[in-house]
Amino acid sequence: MAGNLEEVKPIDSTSESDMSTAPLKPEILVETAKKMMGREFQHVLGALLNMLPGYEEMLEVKTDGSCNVSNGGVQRQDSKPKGEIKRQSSRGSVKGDKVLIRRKSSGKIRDKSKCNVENVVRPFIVKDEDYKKLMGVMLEQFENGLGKDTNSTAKVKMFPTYVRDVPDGSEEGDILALDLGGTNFRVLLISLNGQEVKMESKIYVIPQQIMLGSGTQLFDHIAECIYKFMKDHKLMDKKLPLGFTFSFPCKQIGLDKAILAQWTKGFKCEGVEGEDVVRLLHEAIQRRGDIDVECLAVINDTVGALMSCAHEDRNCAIGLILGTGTNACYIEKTENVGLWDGDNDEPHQVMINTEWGALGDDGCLDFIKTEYDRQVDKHSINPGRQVYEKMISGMYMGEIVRLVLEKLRKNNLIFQGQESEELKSRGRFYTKYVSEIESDEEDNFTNTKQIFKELGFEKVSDEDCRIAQHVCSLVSTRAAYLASAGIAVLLNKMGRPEVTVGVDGSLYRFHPHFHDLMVEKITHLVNPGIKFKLMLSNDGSGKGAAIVTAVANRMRGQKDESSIRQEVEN
Amino acid sequence: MLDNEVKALHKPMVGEMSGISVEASSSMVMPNIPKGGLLLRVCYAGACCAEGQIRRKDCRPRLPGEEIAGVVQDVCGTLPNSNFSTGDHVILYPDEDISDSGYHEYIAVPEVENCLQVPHSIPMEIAAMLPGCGLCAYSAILKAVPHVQKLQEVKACVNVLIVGAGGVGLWASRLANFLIGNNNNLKLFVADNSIDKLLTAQEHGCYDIIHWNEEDHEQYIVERTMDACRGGVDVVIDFVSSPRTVHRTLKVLNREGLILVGGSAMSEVSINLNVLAAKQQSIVGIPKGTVRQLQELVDLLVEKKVEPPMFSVHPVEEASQVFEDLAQSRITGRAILSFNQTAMLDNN
Repeated sequence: MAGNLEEVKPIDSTSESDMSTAPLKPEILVETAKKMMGREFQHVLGALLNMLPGYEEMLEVKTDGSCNVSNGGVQRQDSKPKGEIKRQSSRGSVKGDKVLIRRKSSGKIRDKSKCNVENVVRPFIVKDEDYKKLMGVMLEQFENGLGKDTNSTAKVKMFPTYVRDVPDGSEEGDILALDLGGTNFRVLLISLNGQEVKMESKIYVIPQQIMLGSGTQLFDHIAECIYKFMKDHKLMDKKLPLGFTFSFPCKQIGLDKAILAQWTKGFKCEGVEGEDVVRLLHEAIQRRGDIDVECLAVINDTVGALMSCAHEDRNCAIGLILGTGTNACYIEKTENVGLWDGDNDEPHQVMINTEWGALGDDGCLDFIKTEYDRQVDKHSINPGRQVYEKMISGMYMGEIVRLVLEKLRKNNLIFQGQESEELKSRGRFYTKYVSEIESDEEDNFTNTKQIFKELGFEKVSDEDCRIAQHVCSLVSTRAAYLASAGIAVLLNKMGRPEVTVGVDGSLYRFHPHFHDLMVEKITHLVNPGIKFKLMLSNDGSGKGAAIVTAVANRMRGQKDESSIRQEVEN
Repeated sequence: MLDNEVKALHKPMVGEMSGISVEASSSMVMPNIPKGGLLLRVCYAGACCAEGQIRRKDCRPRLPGEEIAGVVQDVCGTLPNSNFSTGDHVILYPDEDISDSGYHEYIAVPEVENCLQVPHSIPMEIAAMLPGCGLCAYSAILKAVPHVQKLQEVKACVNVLIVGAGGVGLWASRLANFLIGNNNNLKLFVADNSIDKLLTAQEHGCYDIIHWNEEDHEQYIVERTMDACRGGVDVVIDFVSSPRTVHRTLKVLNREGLILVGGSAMSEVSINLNVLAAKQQSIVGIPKGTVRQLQELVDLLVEKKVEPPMFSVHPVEEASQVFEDLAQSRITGRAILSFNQTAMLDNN
């Protein structure tokens, strides 16, 4: 594409008034190219245009999105000659230049403003070499987490999960599952029978005061929900095994023992960090005294995604969560796991919960951090932590977009002087707006306009909508590419020729382009010869927990059998 | 109360708390008794405000609003003595002219048909809820009843979803339980953005609560609703009726389903009418309750057939703060403003 542009004659200022006769005008070429490619590629076009001298005018056309060539002609006639504009953009926005433009082009602030929208959002366009550099950094951090001596100081903990293998289809039985990972808490009853899986579930809300109260209150609430569920489903007289999907960073010391390393995603119950959550659950159940359940396995939601996907596709070796938070797990050879203290029987592999959200906590991501990331971090409930996660996941994406839009608004680049309390409120720009805005099709801004109406803006022009869409797509694209870099590192590390990645999470499920962006980027970054597939993992937290528990139940049954046999023999 | 005492007690009501300005034209003078009417001294007024609506600068909470309970101060001589006398407890059927008139201690009521006697067995703060949210909920449920009964003849289980767990939603829950009965073939669900309001709703007789977290993606909310309401929803009573709630309910509504819409969202909603017709669904506005329905409601309370929902009473001087709290969902249940009272009463 760059080759094509080089062949085109640069804009000749004398021919501006006579657009129709000039051959293959750059702006027409840009418009055509834009129509041929998806929105996600348009910012790439923008980046390219930035690098080519003399094409700042086309940059304006691009963000303007319109084919109003005559308008552009009028503006350019009154504005400074091309040379000075070039100087301005290559130095960034310098005060002297700005003033000059304003004097010359009365009311043509649009010229300057288009360049400035780009300046505001440019930090989100990360160069390819930086993604490659990121991959190197990530690999190093992963190795640190796995290494015996380096683990204690590593930020990315690479916790072993004690889950050794994907399901083989023989898992069966009726299993209870718990899923705690966000503002809702689910109890599920799962029936496994070969490929057939039947599920019944109920969601119980967790009031804010319990999320921030004591650990005892939290687990009492959980036990009460289990009781209600068992009563409603007439399970009171059955003794069912239970699997617990606990989606917070944990150090596992056994399949049924997990010590919470730290709370994330808005939780802050005291008395839980550093404790074994399964023990706390059992204690709460005993306090009630009216239910008889035993938790046989505690897993992370990434493991759930992997196991659930692997139930249908045995090639699955990576579990990825892209939702409120972000995390990944993968299958690693036990010989590479420095802190492995389990047995060395077959299979010589174990699933590692990377907890990659914590990447960057030591500053290794500062080279791609933007001022907006820093602001989001400063005002978060855990400043300085979960840096990588804050650049990707749903809990923060909306806030990043909000900060950019507010900056544009304050600089009069969007919304024409209107202001809104909502847009000024931290956390009010929900991440779902990003998906909804990007779902609007070409020039039909229904979703976008409704959202800004909900945010208190009475008059929103098509131009405003385009800019908002542009901002959203840059932020979400960066998120997708950052996650892709992580997956590429894992794929390269495992070296398996064919891998399926089981993905779950609202960001992946509901964003219109996330999947495609990731496929494109991983393909670009992964070593040649590795084939991969991204697959939506349905209900990993329920199904995945059930599968792991079924296996644990079977293994426990086998162990009991063999110990009884031993006694008999003796 | 003597006139000069009234003047002394009165406090001006312009409150500018975080941009909320409460209507403040106050009347120091007792109005004349209208011909054929009566003079009412306001004792309690319900505080009515939708979540998130306060922020709009053009939308001010209305005082005394639509829910007025008070004491008859004086009666025009031409009225027969048996109807009203000084000291009677009455409620006012809501009237556009009065609800926006500002803080008045005394209201001149020209049409006594709009005045309903309230027996002293019902506390006035409870009676204050009836003309507004009580009546709206009652009217909505009455409108839904024939449809529900028709479906109950052919379906094993009819699912009814109430959107909005504020005062009117809680009334609707209690009234639905009484009128349609929460037996095995009817399940009542309540959805709201606020978990606290939902937990309150749980104690008002619904089968289940559904958290419609505004931060969640629409599709996720729809999936969660379908998950909770097994078999889809047959009747929706939407006291919010914003574009988002209407689209969500349309996605979970069964064939031949009915959506009753009310609320003060004031936004346009786009729906595909062909789809509506194809699925034989209907959207009906919640009718304005009649005076007779209001009287029926009073009778239901007197006969203790329906318990009023949770409420809290606040002195009218704190109106600005109350409206702010309502906008932030910090108050669950109905908020009632008391005039010239010093005691704060709750029933929770």
